[in-house]
Amino acid sequence: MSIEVRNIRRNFGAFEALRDVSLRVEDGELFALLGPSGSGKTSLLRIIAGLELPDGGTIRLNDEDATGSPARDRQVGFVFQHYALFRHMTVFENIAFGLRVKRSRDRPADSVIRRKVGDLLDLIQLTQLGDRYPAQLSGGQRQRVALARALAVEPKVLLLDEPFGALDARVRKELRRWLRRLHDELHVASVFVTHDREEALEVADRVAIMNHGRIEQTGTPAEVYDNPANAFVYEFLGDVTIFDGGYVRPHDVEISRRGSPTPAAVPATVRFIVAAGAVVRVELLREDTEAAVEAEISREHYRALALRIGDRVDIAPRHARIFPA
Amino acid sequence: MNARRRIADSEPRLLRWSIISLAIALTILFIVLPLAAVFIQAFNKGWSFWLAAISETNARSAIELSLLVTAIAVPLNVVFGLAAAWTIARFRFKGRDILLTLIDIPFGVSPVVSGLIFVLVFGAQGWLGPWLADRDIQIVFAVPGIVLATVFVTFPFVARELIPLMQAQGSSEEEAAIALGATGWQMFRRVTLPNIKWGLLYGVVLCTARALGEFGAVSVVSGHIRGLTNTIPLHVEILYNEYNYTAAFAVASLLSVVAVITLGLKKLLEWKTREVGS
Repeated sequence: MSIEVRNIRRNFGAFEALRDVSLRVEDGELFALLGPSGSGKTSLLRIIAGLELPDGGTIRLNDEDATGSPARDRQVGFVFQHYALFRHMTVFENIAFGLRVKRSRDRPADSVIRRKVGDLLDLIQLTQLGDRYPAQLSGGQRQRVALARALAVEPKVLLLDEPFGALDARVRKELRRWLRRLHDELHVASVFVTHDREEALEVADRVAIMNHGRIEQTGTPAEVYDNPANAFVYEFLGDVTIFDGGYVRPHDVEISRRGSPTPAAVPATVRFIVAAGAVVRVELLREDTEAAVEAEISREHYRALALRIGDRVDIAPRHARIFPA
Repeated sequence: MNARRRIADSEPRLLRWSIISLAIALTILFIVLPLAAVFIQAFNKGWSFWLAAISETNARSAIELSLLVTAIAVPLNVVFGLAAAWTIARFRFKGRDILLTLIDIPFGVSPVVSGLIFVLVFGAQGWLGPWLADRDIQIVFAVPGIVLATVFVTFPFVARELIPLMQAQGSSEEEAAIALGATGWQMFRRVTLPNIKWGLLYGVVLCTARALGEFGAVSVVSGHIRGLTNTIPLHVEILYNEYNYTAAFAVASLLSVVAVITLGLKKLLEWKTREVGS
């Protein structure tokens, strides 16, 4: 089922949370809403789910107007940032909830519910934990229960609010690969909200980058990374260093020994080196403008240069981007 | 090092023990002794006298009226309290702070003043007096007035208990229920109510105790008509004023038992809410 958002506006008093936001998510697509906190991405997700109403604009689900329809009729699976599991119910009952509250003519028989919840417990690899209460689970387990609970009603659209926000780095990476695989098996339209660019770029088919209640750019991860629409997107998608009014990625800053033939080179002093990791990060101070510049170079290059703090070198940008102000 | 620590500790320890002893002494003097006195007085003419005192016609009608008033006031305040707590904990609106303050008014105003307000509004000389008299409806100096006064005085107990609890729990579980297809009623019964049940019971216990024991407001609107508009506390006062001490204490002992039970339930529920609330 497709999701279409047209000209959505939402104000909280004088604060404009969403200003004329439009986007379309196709069936089967995994879509990320990426932006800093306060950019309106969670509000947009809640409006799609029907948990909040927009002040203007329309929401279309499967090409039918759903703007005014109540949340419970939208067949949307929503996974909350802090999971919002029912604390007084077991894992089993949490997952079964959506089936148990169906109208009596649609409600599956008890045996069907039991089988279905059992299958979902298998899917989230918590087969043995159906009798536990949410408080007895780890963060990653709770997250998976929240997902299983949302999936139990076979939603046409899956919405996830900062799905990995509260987990530690290792569990996060594991879960996001798992989510990607799960999404591909389910054939739903999924939208997830995140402030983590790595998460969005790694997992999503397409990304919308939001800022101050507006969508700055929409596209595939490669499109937005390689062709950022403006300075905000460029800065948000990776570290940048400013070089003579242009924006440069640290890995595009070239370092060479003094007296190199590079035409645009300027003199700089090495101030700090972080040599732990796949690349070596070097902080420099330009001697002409006294501006700080950050560079990332390969380990081989680092060894070849034999850099030390205090060394005086030449630096030059490989690509600089100029964005109209 | 060790010796120095002992010295550093010794003064606060002395202070600590004297404060604890003082607290215990005051508790015994002001709470345990009076409570014991109630029971000693109540039974000083024996079981049969006690039984006669609480089963005499006027005593029985006072007990019945108190139970009736409580049976009306408590459910009403459960409904009002839930509605008020829900509104305040779940919505942001203009006048929210005013509503919060209004809920507290019965705690801030002297019960006697609360009673007088009802006389002023519903009494024969009150604003609605003539209108009510035309329709032969009597509120003040009758059971409806006593119910109204009791409802007013006990209004904050349930709401006050639920507001912080519901605020702390937040609304995300309720939103999850709605997103999963639950109706408003299903959400309330399956998610909201189980989460607040211990807090709600706690409020009900306090509300019941106060409804049974309320004196001031009820005294003003009751008119003290024996066998008709006397509640337990008013009956105790009448017996006492008639120098019928043992009977007064016998009836009072009923209220004291309620107080002790309340205290026990209160402790149990406090423990339960803390266990579940986190």
